Amino acid sequence: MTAVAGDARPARPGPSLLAARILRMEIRHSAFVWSIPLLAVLFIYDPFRTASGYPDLWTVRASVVLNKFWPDCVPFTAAFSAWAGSREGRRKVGDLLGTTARPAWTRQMFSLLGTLAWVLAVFLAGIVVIYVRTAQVATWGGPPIWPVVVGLVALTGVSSFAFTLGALFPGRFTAPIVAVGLTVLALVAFRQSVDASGGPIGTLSPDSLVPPNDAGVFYPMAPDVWIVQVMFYAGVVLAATGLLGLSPRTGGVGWRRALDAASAGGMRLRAIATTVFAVGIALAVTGFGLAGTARTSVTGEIEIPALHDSASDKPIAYTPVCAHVSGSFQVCLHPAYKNYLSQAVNSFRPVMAELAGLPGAPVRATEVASLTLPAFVLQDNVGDGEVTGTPPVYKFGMNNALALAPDATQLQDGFRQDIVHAVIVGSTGQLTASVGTPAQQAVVDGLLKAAGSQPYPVCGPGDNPNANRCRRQQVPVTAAAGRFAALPAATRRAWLAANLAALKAGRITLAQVP
Amino acid sequence: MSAADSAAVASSAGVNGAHRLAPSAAGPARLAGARLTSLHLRSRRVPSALVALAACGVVLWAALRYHWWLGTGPSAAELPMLIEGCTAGIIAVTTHSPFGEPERATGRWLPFLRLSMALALCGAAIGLLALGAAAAYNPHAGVYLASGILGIAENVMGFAGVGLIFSVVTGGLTAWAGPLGFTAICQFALIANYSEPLTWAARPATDRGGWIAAMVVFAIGLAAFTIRGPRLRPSGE
Repeated sequence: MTAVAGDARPARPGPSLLAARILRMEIRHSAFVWSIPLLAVLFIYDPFRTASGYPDLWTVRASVVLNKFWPDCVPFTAAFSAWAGSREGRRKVGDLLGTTARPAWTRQMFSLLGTLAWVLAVFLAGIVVIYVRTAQVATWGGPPIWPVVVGLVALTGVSSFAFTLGALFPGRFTAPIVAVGLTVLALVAFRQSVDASGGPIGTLSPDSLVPPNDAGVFYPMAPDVWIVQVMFYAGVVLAATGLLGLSPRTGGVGWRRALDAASAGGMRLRAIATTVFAVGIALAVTGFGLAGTARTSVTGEIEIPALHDSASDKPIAYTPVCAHVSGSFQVCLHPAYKNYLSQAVNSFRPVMAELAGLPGAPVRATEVASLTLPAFVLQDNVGDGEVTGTPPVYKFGMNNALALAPDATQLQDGFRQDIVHAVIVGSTGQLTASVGTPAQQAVVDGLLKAAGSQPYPVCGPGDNPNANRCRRQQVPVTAAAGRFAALPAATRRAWLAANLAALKAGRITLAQVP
Repeated sequence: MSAADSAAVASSAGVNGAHRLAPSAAGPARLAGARLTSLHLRSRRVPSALVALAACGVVLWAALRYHWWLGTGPSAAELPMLIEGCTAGIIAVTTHSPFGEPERATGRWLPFLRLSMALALCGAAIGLLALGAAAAYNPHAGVYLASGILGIAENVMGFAGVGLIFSVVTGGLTAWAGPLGFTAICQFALIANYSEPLTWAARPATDRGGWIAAMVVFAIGLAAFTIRGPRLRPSGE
């Protein structure tokens, strides 16, 4: 043992070392750690599994960060933050701690940071897992950063707000009530966000609808809404922490004395708390106000006029990936959908083998932004695109073609139905007014059956009187379609070459279909 | 320890109120029993719990009246389930005793008081939520609770059972974590259309398997809490 001189003073740790030590203690004692196993189970079964089922696209898969993982974290974040915040009041040690060298605000900040460290670490770990998995399958683009930033700031907001509520109203009921209260609030905001007239509350909800699968592919994602959300939740963080420093119930000095420069001691701290609170309120109010001005942009996204950069409305340059289907017919996709090229080729091949060279048959298929397709394609889900131009080209989008849950049948049937209808009946646009004569329907369904696809859903889904009556009327059409499909391919093609013009003009009756 | 708390210990111990607890006459004994029950409930913050449960009923009423929920399918059950989880969390934290170990040496009435309190609070929670739903009931406007009172009863009792089990394992003050976590699991099961009996809240209120699972959990929780009481921690929490 080394002898120590009598007048030697023990070395005092520096302020940063002391802060790190306190923070480490708070992190070690945070109760949030007990919720991590449950959150891990929820993460695997909810966000991770959902993202793994989504198409191999960065924007769609990253949407689970805010749509699934964020709401999973909210109740636990709120509960354990409120629990940590109510600690001193619950244990009735306010008087005891009133004599400590550091102000109550500093002490509470470390307690908040201790919980927040776990919350953010868990959230980031989940994001890393989702992004690494997506990076293994995505063929274009990169990890979106804004959902991560919004998620982190919004969770910090939830944590700070819940902590402050816990500190202001300490008690055994605080944690569960705050947790459920904030979760209900998040759920109501989500309901507003999916509602067409959502208003500012809906715009500020991080949890919203899954974006269309070509979002961020042809046009950049406008960050307007994300900026407003970050602004609002950062305001909540600052306002909540400022309130902690001001409220006498949490060891602060009270509202009146906060503004009293002449009061004794801690003036700098009060000034900081007041400033933080004021800046927070200003940010939150500004964010809320800006959210109220949200509108739909020309690219179909939500934009905030005051923040919108018109550069984000310009299309992103790309080199399509193409493959030959049969003869000179080729299909081209955006490189983000490269993984679906072989499925697309297999979808077009049988139908183009039947129709290639006939009048009105497309010479190639090209993917375009869904936004550039006619409104009826997007609104009525009548198809994936339309055959247009001279020579005819099948222009399609992947929004309707590619389901959120993997469904190869949907991809192949949609393309085939579009092309067969366009050649036999007319463009998809005409289908909204008429699905064609019975003879046209029989030939369309016969060709689709020969190609291995489902017939065009003329009667619509469901078990209702109108649909059932329609299905009864379709019986002779279905029989004729079966006969036509059973013909040899060469016979079908020869009949079509000879009769297509008359069939398209509606001069062929059902009985005349071979 | 407040005066009420001290009185509760003293009364239940029969230290300074022995003459009141003495079964010499039926009247004073009934009075003593009522006082003991009253002090027990006050020491567990039951009046505050009733206020909080009433607030849950008001929130349910507002959620129904102002269409806070989303859709008419399973999503419509999300908000009521959250509120039912909250009531279970409130019931769970009332199990905390401020007296700790000494109270357990005070006589044979404590388990009965625990049992009565848990049952009474469950009944109050079901009643107050049903009252909230009934106040908002307007079928012509499409305003009604899809699961009905059966769903409320099943979820409140089942979630409370989880909370009571947690109170035995973790202690009363942190027992809210059980109903909260279990509600989160049921919410996920509801959205993902999982239909295991153990996630009964995601199944229809008339489902027999769900009821059996909920009642088994409630019975286990109630029995464990009645016999053992909440876990006592050295910190007092």
